[in-house]
Amino acid sequence: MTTESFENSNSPSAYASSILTDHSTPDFNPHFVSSADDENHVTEQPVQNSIKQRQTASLAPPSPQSDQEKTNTEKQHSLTTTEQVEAEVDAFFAHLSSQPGKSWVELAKESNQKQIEEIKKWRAQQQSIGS
Amino acid sequence: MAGTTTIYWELILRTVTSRLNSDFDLTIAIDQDIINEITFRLWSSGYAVNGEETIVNTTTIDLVGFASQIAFWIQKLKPLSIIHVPPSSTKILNINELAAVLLAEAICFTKVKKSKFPPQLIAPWAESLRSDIHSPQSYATTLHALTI
Repeated sequence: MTTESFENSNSPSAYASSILTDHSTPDFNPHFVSSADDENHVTEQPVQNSIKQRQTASLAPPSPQSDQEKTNTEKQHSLTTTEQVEAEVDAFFAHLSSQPGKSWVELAKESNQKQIEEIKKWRAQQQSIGS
Repeated sequence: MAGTTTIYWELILRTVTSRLNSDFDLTIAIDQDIINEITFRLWSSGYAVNGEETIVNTTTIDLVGFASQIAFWIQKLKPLSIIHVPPSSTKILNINELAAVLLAEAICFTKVKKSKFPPQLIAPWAESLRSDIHSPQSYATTLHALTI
């Protein structure tokens, strides 16, 4: 639990937690963790309810409106996730830029240019030896 | 018991690539087949892969280990390719290695919330990834020592 609180509440980890502890499923019932005295009574009840709910659900016609809502929710979730990840990566690059010293982009360009020149120089030497 | 967190590493890689595009004035393409292979290899290594995301334990050691695995496979399989270099720019030879280092650091920054890694080491480390032999484990040790 302490590790979860370490995460930003807006981070994608919130989705993972909700998937792992999905209380909305028909089988979930908090009474499963109740005391042992009424265990037999309690454990049978949700199973019966669950079968009844599934039978009722299977008889009900599919609702096009709910499908549309579901699609919209998924799109919204995907968009939010993309925006959030982009914002986090932008913050990372802003952090890199804020550090003292020469920019990592300039250093990478210089290192790359040096490498290309060394390869060209070596290539020219090889060609002159060959001729 | 450790919690879990979802890492959208493909999205992070795409954002990092977009940044490399603009910073180096290049047009970089991502090979989706190689991305799929990396995903498969993560799954083979025991990670909980779900589409474009991977669920990882929130302990620092697990997050650094995952970031290292991703970086290792990117530098090894090289999903990025430069498809256009404007006359005013220069082709970056180690673009995949740069993306690997930046992706690993971005995961540490956003998930572990720590980044003491000096930006001046990005280029030399990317060069080392290209020239020297690294395993995911040696990468994790280096990443942990330099970043956390």
